[in-house]
Amino acid sequence: MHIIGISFRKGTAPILGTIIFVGILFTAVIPMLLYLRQADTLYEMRKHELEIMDEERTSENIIFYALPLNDPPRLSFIIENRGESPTTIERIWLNDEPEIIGESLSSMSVSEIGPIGVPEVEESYIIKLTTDRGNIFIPSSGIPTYDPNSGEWQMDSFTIFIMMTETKSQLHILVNHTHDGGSSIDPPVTYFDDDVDNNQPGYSISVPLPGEYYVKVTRWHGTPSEEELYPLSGTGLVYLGLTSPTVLIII
Amino acid sequence: MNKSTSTRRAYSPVISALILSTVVLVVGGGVWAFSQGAMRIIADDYAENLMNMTDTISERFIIEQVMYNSEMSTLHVWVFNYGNVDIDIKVRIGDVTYSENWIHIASGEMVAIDPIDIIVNTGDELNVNTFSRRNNNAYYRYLVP
Repeated sequence: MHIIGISFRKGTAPILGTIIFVGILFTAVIPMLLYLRQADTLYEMRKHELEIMDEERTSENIIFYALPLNDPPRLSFIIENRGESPTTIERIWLNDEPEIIGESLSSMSVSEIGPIGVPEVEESYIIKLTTDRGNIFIPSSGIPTYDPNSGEWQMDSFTIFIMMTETKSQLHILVNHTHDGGSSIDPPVTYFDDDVDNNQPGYSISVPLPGEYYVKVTRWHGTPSEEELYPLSGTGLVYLGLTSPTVLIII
Repeated sequence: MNKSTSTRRAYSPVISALILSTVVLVVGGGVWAFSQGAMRIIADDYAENLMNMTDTISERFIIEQVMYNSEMSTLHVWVFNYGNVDIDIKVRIGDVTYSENWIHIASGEMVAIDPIDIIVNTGDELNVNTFSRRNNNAYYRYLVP
């Protein structure tokens, strides 16, 4: 009894304490840490998914044209998905009226939507397209206006305005349409290629279609050999669209 | 007499060891139970906060269209929730919040907000702001035609 008593007294409490400590460690602390780690992992996964979603949204690239049709007045839409991801066209807005579309477009594909009928009244149509990723696009073809008297549509025009700071020099202007916003134009269509009267401070060249234009302004003083090219960026390209129907070039 | 002394000495350490062990078990068990409860509360709280934070960063919405009806003097606002979580929003123009209640918009839906009575002039610039219950914002700068 005496021997058993000494052994019991010296070992039991620390052993029990250690067991309880290990028990707390394995049943409370470690599960909690694992749970928190799991929650963190789920959060990081969600964050990563959102980053991918945002990247896809940023890289979404849609080019579309509004094609006016007559008898009765309608608008048809050619939509090209030039992005790397498939997309869904949620709506097309004609001024303040949304037309629900819900059409999916795979990457690098073209689709025609419509035609959508419009009332036979004189009205200009500001058109917008919304995708399921929350991007809004505007047509490259400008703002169509319906004239009920003639029964015809009119599209707004685009202007390249060249402002000359030096009226004594002689100029030759070349304007080539190189890209229509959807594809390259090969060979380019020349809209202007002529000498310009340099007595006026500015010169405007109207072009009927939006897209990318190559503009070359040749300027010389007396001899044509001292050529100088515009624009100063060296690309020679300007872009005309609904958001920038007019481009100003200062030489 | 000697035997009696020996017996007394033998029981006392055993009783003290039993008491000590009982105390260790009781206190340890209490600490164990408290630890499990506390850890569970901490973990649940952390997970809930994380879920709320996940929902907050998951919100995606835009003001898709704004239109002013000059005849009715009403401003119309369309909001598109293109995120993966439902949202509750209010509309603010300048410094004035026009929605009394939160407007619920399900994921993937566009909602036309109730017309806002406001008198503005042609050429006025309106800063339309929608903010969510989770404090995300979407802005639209509208030039009254």
